[in-house]
Amino acid sequence: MSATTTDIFADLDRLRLTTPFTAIGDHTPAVVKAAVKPKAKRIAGEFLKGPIPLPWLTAVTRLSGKAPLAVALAVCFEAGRRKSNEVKLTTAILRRFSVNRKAKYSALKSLEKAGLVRVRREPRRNPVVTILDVQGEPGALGTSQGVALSSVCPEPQRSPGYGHNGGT
Amino acid sequence: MNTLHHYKEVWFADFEFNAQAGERPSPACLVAREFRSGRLIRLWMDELRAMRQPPFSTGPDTLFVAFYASAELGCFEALGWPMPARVLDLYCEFKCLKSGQKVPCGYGLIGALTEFGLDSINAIDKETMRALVLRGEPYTADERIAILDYCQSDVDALAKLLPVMIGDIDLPRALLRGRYMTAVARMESRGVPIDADALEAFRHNWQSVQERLIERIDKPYGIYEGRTFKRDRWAEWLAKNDIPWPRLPSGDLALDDDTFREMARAYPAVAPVRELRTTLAQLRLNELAVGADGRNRCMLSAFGSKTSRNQPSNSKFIFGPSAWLRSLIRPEPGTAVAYIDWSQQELAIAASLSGDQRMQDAYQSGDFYLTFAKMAGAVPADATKETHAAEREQFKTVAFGVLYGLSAEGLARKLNAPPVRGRDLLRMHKETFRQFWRWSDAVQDQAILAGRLHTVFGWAVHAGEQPNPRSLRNFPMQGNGAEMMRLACCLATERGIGLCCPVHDALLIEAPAADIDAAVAATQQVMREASELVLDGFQLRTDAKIVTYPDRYSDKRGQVMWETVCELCGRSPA
Repeated sequence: MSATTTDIFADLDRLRLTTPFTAIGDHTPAVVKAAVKPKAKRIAGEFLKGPIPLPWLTAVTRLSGKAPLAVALAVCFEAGRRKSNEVKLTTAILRRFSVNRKAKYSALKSLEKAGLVRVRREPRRNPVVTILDVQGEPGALGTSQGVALSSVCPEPQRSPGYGHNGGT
Repeated sequence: MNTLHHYKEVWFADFEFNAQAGERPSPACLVAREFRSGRLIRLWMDELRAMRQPPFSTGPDTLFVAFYASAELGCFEALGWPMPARVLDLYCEFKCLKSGQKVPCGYGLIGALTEFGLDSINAIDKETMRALVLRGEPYTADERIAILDYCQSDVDALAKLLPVMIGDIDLPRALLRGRYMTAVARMESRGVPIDADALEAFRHNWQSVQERLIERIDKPYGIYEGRTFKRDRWAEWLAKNDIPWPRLPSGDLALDDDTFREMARAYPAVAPVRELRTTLAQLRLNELAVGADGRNRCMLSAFGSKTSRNQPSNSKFIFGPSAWLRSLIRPEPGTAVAYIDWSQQELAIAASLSGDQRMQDAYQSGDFYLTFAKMAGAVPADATKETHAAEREQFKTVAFGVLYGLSAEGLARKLNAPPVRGRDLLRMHKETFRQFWRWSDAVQDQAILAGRLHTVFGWAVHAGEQPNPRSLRNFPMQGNGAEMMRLACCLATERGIGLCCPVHDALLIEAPAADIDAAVAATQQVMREASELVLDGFQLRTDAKIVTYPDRYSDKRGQVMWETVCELCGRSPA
């Protein structure tokens, strides 16, 4: 498309942004909700998608050794990337979190024992991990626990779940 | 870089030029480089002057990229070249990205390069080269090459800067800011007509005039010793006249101009001292930039303030120094000037953006202050400006004060009234304009939570590490007022109106005396359009004051001082 075919100044009304200063409702909370968020800025590279409920994370940190936390973060990372609470946990992804095969199995056992994940194991297959909430129910991560920052603070932009930019 | 695919060509350009105070720039050279092809153009002054067109396209399919584009476009004006249709000014965009934040190396090109971790020519080399350009002709062959190389280094810097900035640039609105830089170049080129004879007489007699001014104005006060303002004598005079003067945390009297201005409103006896202090402190007559053709030209310093308002030099710009000096503005023979301002612009913006219907009704009534007083039940429904002048004045102070976050105590001080009266007036405002207050609170919350605010056309301000709630609450009025003024300037200059300069919420235009009424009507039309564009259809009123040769412009706040100075110089004030 050439610039000559679209005159950017032809309709200046279209360039007007909605601002938090435009007419607002009667209640302050509605005002905060109404405040229009500028388009979220994409984060370069890989990242851990949130929100991660704090009770879930603190329960992980109470487990002995460093492997459970690393495995939990790897699970969260994969869950965000796959947009699913059930993920296949490969040794390759865990290597990136400095967890070897042996530590992976013992960490998964600890997490499972603490009721934070459910693990489906099959011979010669990578384990399939389901994230549970602190009450042991599946699918709760990011929705039932804690307070998502993005619902409180309109900016800076935070991603609504776990994931990646497709560039991983 | 996808955002640039609309453009067939993207040209980075930079001029080196010599600009004497009050004169149009005289270009020394131009260097331009096309972004994709890398094509380089280097032209020296004699080649530039022989050209009727720039050496690249200026159509809407070409993007012209510069840093502080009004300077480059000023050279376009000086050369009689057509202006580029699409201008991207990386200075404006850098300022927009960083406004309100700490920028260690400033907002210049070096500052921007440093901020993005790019190499730049060092500041000392830059100053040396600038001095060489300003020295003027004749140049040796080596000097020419050195100047062209220096100019090219700035162009190459732009080529490095654009790719790292483009991801953060909101291009459509950036082009709107670039469009304003074109209007700025046109205004800076036109300038303001000045009575050069009167200015020359003032400059010639200024030393003795200052001494006699002190002698005359200070007589009933006895504060000055020679040309020195004596603090202890001022304290004595205040005590004698029972004036409670604000103090600094150190306990000393606050002697800044803001305090003097505020106190002069509450205590008229203070006003002459304030005017004298301002005149002596600010008025460096030799710095007022007036060219040989008797026109005041200076950098308007577009986007100079955090709110994006212009910030021209106080000493160089005719509207900068004391109000009395504005009487130097005089249309040329056969012409007229007109000063057209938006009526109560900031109140109207607050009323419109907050969606407060009562505030909008008050604005549209034609007399905001009296209508507000009536809405608050402070005056009867049949009150007029004449019957309730004092009350109207108080409500005027409240209406404006709240836009700046004025406290009840500050309000009382301004009104020379007890604190309880300040609290009472503020309460009345809050009860009358509830929606406005909810909105204002939300603006502050938004700024603190999000860390930034932006205008309707995308100018942003960052709350910073120590946000000032008063400034944040005031930002929508200032920032959007600036947007309105910029749009009006663009529309006016593009429609051929003789726009001399913007002055906060007003435009100064000139036209042949026979055409001035039509020019005023056309300007009022663009100002209406600009208000509708910014406020989504809400229309602001404008007032116009026309001055036809041989009369001179005057500001009533400086009328007495003007007459006094003229008398001391032995000139007629007319």
